[in-house]
Amino acid sequence: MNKTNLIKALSFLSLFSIPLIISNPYYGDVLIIYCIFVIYALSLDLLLGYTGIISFGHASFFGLGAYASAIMTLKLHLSYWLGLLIAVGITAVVAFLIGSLTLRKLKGIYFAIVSFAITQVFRFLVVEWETVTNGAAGIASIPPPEINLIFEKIAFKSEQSYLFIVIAFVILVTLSLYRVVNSGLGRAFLAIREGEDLARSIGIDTCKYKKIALVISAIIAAISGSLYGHYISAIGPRIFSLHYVSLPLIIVIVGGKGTLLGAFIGAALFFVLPEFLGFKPEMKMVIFGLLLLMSIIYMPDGIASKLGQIRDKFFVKNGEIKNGKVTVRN
Amino acid sequence: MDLLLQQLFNGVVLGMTYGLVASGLSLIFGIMGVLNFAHGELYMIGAYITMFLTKAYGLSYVWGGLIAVGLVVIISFVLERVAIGPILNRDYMSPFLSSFALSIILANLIQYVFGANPKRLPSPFEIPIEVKGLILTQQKILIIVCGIAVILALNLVIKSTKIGKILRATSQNVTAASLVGINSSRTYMYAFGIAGGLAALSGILLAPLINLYPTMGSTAIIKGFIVVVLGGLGSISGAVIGGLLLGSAEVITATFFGSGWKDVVGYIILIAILIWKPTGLFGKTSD
Amino acid sequence: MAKLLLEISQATKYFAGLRAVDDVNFRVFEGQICGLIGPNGAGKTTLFNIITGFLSPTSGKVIFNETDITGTAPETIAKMHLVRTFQQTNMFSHLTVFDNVLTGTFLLNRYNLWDSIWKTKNFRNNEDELKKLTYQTLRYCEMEHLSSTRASNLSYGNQKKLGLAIALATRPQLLLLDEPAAGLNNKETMQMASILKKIQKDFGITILLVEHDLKFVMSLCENIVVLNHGQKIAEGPPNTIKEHSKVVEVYLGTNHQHNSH
Ligand SMILES: Nc1ncnc2c1ncn2[C@@H]1O[C@H](COP(=O)(O)OP(=O)(O)OP(=O)(O)O)[C@@H](O)[C@H]1O
Ligand SMILES: [Mg+2]
Repeated sequence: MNKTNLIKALSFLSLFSIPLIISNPYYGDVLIIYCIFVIYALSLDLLLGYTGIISFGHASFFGLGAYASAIMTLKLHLSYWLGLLIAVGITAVVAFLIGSLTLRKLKGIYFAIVSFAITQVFRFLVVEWETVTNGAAGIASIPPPEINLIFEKIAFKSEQSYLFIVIAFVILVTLSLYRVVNSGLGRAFLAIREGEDLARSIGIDTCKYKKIALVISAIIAAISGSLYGHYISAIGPRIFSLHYVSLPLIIVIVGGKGTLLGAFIGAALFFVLPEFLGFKPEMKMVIFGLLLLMSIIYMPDGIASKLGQIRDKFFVKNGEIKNGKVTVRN
Repeated sequence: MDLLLQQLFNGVVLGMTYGLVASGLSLIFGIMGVLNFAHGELYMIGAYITMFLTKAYGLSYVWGGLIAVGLVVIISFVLERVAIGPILNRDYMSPFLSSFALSIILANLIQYVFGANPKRLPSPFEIPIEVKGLILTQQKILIIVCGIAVILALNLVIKSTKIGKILRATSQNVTAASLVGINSSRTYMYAFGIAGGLAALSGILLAPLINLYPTMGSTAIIKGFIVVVLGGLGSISGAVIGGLLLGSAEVITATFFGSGWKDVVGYIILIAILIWKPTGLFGKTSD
Repeated sequence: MAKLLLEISQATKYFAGLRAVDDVNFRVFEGQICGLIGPNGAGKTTLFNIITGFLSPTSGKVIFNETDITGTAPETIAKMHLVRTFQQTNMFSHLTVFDNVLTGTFLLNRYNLWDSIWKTKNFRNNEDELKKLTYQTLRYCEMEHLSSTRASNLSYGNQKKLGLAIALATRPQLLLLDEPAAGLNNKETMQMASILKKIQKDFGITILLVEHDLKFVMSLCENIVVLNHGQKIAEGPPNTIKEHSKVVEVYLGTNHQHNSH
C-alpha cells in the first residue's frame, strides 16, 4: 500500500467517526435518510446521467428492494443480510426482464412512460397480493438488521448504529460506481448517451449495455430501498408512487447528472438544508420543483459540473499532456 | 344487461373526459413534439379555480367554469413562455423534464393553498334523469355533448381556420413554416393555450362527479398518456377514440374483476401497446 | 493478387419504391484504398449502411473476410474489424477528445466488471495499454495538442479528424469513410489525405471511402467505383474513370449538379 492509498483508506475510515460524533438522534435520522437517498440517487444517475436513459420507474426497484427484504426477514425469518441478498437478486432478475422487454424498442419518453406504468403495475400487485404483502395496509414492524456475534446479537436499532451501516453502503456503492464509470463499461454507457449509432459503429452492443446499466442501477436502488424499509420499519404501496419516482430525479438533475458527486449535492440540498430552514412539506416541494425547473433551463448539467468547471480551471484535465505524458485522472 | 348498459354509459362518460384531456396532450405533441407532463395539473387547476370562484365570489358553476378556462389559457401561455419554449430545441428530454418540474410545482402549490383534503365542486346539473331504466344525470350528458362539440370544433379549427393552417404547417415542418413567415414560437404558445383550455374544461366538467384533490392531475396525466398511446401520439380523433376505449375497458374491468383492477388495465394496455406497436394503435408509422 | 477482403454482390435497397441502391457489385482487396463516388443521392451512404449493418438490403449479399455478413448487427460487424465513419460529424460531443478516442478502443477491453471494481493488475495493465494506444492514435491524427478539449468545441475540420481517430482506435481491418474531406479547407484536405495514406501504409488498413472532391479521390485511390441513381456505372483505376464517357456525362452533364456540401 503506497502513501496515497493509505490516505484514501484513512479518509474513508474517518467517515465512520461521524456516527460517534453525532449523538443527537434527530441529526442521526437526517443523515441516515440523506445517505439512503444518496444511494438511491446514485443508482438513477448511472442510468440517467451516464447512459442517458430516462426512467420514471425507478421506484419499482426501490420499492421491490424494500418489500422483498421486508418479506424475507419478517415472513421467512431470514437474517437481514440474506434477505437483502435475495431482494437484490430478485430485483436484478426483474430489471433484466423489464430491460429485455422494453429497451430494444423504446427510447426517450416512451421508455419513461412505460417504466412509470410498470411501477404502477407493481403498486397494484402489492395491493392485491394481500397474503404476502399485507395489501394496502403495508408491512409494519420490519426488524432492524442484526449481526450475530458468537456471544451476543447486535441489532442496529439506534440511529447511531444504523448510521454505521448506511455510511458503509454509501462508501461501497460510491466506490464501486466510481470504478465502473471509469472503466470500459462506463465508457460504453457514456457512448450510448452521446450517440447510439456511433456507439454501435465501434462495436458497442447498445442494447446489451443498456440492459447492464439497468440491472446495476436496479441492484443499487434495491439496496437503498431495503435500507429504507428496515430503517423506517413500515412500508406501504405508496413507495411505488410518483413521489418516490420524482425524488431521485430532482436530486440527480439539480445536483448534476453524470457526475456521481451530483447525488451527494442534490440530496444534501433536498434532505439536509430544509431541516435548518423548516419548510412546510408542500412548500418544500414547490421550491424544489422550481429548483428543478431552473436547473433544467439554466444549468442543465447541474451544480456538480459547475464545480467541475471550476476544478478544471485550477487542475490538469483528463487527457491533458504535460511534459510529454498524458495525464489521466483516476 | 341493464347493469352492463349502465356501466357502459358510465364508461363512455369517463372516456369522454379522458378524450378531452388527451386531445390537448396530443395536440401539443403533434405540433411541438413535447409530451407535457404538467397537462394534468392544468386540468386540476381548472377545477380548483372554478371551486374557488364559486365559493369565494358566489359565481355560478357555468360562469366560474368559463372564467377558469380563460385563466388557465393565460396560465398556459405563461408556462409555455417560461418553461417550454426556451428549451424546445435543446433535446427531446428537456421539455419533458421541465414540464415534469411544472407539474410538481403546480400540484404542491395547490396543496399548499387549498390543503390535501378532498374538496367538492357542486354543479346545478346533477339532477338524475331516467331513460328506459338507464340513470343519467344532466352533468353526464353535458360531458358527452361538450366532448363531442369540442372535438368537432377543434377539428374544424384545425382544418379550416387561419390559426389551424398555421398549426398544421408548423407541425409538419417548422423550418418551411418559418420560411413562409409563420412565427413558430407564437404558434407554440397558441397550441399550449388551446390545450390548457381543453384540460381545464375537462377538469371542470368531471369535477362534480368526483372529489377534487391536489394529486388528481397526476392521475389524469397517466390516463392521458395511456389514451394518446392508444390513439396514436399527435392524433386528436385518435385521442377521443382512445379515451372512449379506455373508459369502457376500465368500467368493464371494474364490473367483472372489482374496482381494484380498474386502473391497472390501462397500464397493461399501455405497456403492451408500446412494446408491441410503439406508434399506437392508430398512429402513423413515420419515425 | 492481394487477398479479397470485401465483396458486395447484387446489393439492392428499395425505400418505398425508390431504388436507392440497385444491383451493385464490386470487390475490395486487402491493402487498397478504394473510392466510391457519385452525385448527391446516388446511394453511396445507403451502400455504406448496408455494408456496416445499419440497414439490411432488400436483396443481395455482403461478404467480408469470407463471411456472409448480410443483415448482421452493426456492433457485430465492428467486432469483425469492419468499421465506418459517418457523413454527418459524429462524435461523443460532451467528452474530451482523449475520452472520445479512448471510447473507440472499447473492443480492446480485456477485463471484466470484477477487475474494474477491484482495479486488478489486469485492469491497470489493459487500461494503460488502451491509453497508450489512444495517445498514439491522437498523435497519428495530429490532434494530441487537443486531447483535453471538449469535442463539441472543436473546429469542423478537427471534428472530422476526431471521427476518423475514433474509428482508427478500434484497430480496424477495413475502414469505411463517408466523406472524410467534406467541408475541409485545402490545407486540411491535404492533411487528411496524408493521414489516410499513412494509415494504409503503417497499419495495413484497407480503406473504402466516399468523397465528392474528385482530386482527393483520384490522388488517393487505386480503384474507383462510380454510382449513379443507385447503379454502378463504372469501375476502374483513376485514369480510366477520368475518361469514362458515362462518368464524364454524369459529372459534367447539364442535368446533374455536383455540388459538394
Ligand atoms: N432512410 C431512408 N428512407 C427513405 N429514403 C432514403 C433513406 N435514406 C436514403 N434515402 C434516399 O435514398 C437515396 C440515396 O441516398 P444516399 O444518402 O445513399 O445518397 P448519397 O449518395 O450518400 O448522397 P450524398 O452525396 O448527398 O450523401 C436518396 O434519394 C435518399 O433520399
Ligand atoms: Mg451520403
